[in-house]
Amino acid sequence: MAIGEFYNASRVLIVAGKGGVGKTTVGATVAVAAARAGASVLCVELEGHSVLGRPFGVDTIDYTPTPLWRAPAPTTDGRRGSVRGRRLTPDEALVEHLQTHGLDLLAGRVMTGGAIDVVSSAAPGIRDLVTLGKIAQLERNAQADLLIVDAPAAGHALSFLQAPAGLLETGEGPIRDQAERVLEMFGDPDRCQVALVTLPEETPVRETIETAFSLEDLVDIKLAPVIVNGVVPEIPGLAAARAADDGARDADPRTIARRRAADHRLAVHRRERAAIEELARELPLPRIELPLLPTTRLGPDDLGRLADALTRPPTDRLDGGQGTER
Amino acid sequence: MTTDIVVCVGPGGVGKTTMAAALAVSAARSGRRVVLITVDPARRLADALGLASEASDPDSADRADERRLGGSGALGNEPRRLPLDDTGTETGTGELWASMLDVRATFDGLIREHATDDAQARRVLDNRLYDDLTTSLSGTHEYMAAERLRALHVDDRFDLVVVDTPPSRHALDLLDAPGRLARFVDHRLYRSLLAPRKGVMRVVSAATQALARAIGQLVGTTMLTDVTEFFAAFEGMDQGFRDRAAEIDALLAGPTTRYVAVTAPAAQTVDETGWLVAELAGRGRRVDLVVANRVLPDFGWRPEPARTPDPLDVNLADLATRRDAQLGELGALAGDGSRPLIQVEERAEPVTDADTLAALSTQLDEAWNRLG
Repeated sequence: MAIGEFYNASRVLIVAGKGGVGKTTVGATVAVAAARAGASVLCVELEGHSVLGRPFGVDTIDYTPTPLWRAPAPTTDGRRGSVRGRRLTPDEALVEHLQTHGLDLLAGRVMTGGAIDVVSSAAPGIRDLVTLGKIAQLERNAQADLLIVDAPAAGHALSFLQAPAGLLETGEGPIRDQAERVLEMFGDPDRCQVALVTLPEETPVRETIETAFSLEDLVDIKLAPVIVNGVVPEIPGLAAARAADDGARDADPRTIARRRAADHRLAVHRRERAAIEELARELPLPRIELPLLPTTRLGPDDLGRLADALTRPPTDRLDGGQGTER
Repeated sequence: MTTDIVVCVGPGGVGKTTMAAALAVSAARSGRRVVLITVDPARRLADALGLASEASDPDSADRADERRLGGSGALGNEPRRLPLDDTGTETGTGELWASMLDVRATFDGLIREHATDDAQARRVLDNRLYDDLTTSLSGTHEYMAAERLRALHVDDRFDLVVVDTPPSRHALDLLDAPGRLARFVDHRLYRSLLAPRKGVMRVVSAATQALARAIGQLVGTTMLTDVTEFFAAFEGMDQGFRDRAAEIDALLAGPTTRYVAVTAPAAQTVDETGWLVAELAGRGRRVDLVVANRVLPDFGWRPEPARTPDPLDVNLADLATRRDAQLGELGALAGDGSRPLIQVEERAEPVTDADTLAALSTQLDEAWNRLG
């Protein structure tokens, strides 16, 4: 299997990364790539205001799976892939868990009565656990060929994924059973893996390295290739052209603009390469780079281009011309 | 009235910490005695702010224990004065201090302050659940940022506090968290859990008692006992928490407190910022200024979109197109034009030392014309 088809390795892919790294875009890109290859994909959005549907032109996603995209054509073996999306909030998952276990009274008070604070302080991580438990249930019920989970943002991915192990130690009864089921899924690389998303910048790279090692140490879960999102694409011949331009002294605004713009881009490349090299040096995981597209509002076509970059073997990209929109 | 508190809000990943630092430097250079409260700065920014040795202290865990036992005092919380490059100082009176939010130490201090005696403080601090509370209860981070803000605001050494809020999906937690914790400590569910312990006849509804039993069934009886003991340890501290929450609330709503939204010119970031500005407005807090970080520079000239093979023109046209898209995004935040927006150019190199930070800060001097 090519690196770019890592999503075929398991039925659940948890996409994790700090806020602002483009986790949702990466999840949608993987969804499109898998659907083009014939898979039925369900994207699960956990919290925050809904952004999952946007690149597909869908405004709101709710708790029932909403169709987002359909592959334009079936694969050679006749499968026509699709992408659906649904939301799954921790509160919703907790209410469902409580109702399943005959605790309807508590379920009714989770949202309104502040009972969640009491429960959370007695059993920290319980919201994360029941969310993951719901995902494990969707996986067992084979709701899709591939479930893509947009993990909580900020620095919470680690505590999110550590919650089951923590509650296995301290929990009792249904909580403990739930933790066992989730850990079983985590421990099986055919069922579940985590893709870390980062940006080609110093701080996100450093945090990604730390998160990867912490996951390795603390959570028994397989790590997919690291996705480096938003890499400014190179323009073939730019460095050479800038070097050739160096001698001339010209106060013409056109010349000045061309030089400044070239210097800017080349400096950005140096900064980004330094960050990616640090990632390569420190983290023994394969990497996939996705280009920063020139549009800020991505649509389905843009996701298609990103999916191309995702699935193209890295060796094709050594010429540095990938993702240049021309 | 002169601004004496600046709260920087914004989504994660926009360089908010750097912008808050640059705002603080700019204010210090114009003669203010500024203290900056940062949250988790990047290593090189921490270097630039003279905070790095604390950030990378390998013994911090040990020292946290020591601190809990009333030892050496706060690590990151205590502001450190930074040398200010006086070439840019107009009055010569400006000072720049920086501190790093230490959630745990702040929380410890709050417990000690509100405890009726040392024994009570120790009962809370030594409880197994206390560690979890300081890290897992939503809004704790934000509450402690607000608590530090209050402490430094009343500190005579400073006349301006710039606070960088924690990266959070719920950036509004800074406003909501103090009240939430006060309610939490005083929650009637705890009352019902505590009632039998204390052997006091209380009027607790049957429904609430049943709810407490249901929680016991969910989390297990051992954990329920733990949590009951934990909240028993808080007994009598709730009034202190409530008063403090009210004080912080008044401070954050005060006429000399300003809100600055930091953003970056990407679609989702701009959307989140717009949402945040609207939510703040809904709570009566006006964002006075938007700082857009990492905007591509204007190179002054652009080639026609001809099919030129010249890489220099291809690049210039590409960057100009990207800049147009960025400015298009930011236009949505300017609204009717009444809210000023300062663009800070994308830097090819990160902030690495006090000099690059000072250079960056000049791009924010204009902010103080708006903020006063």
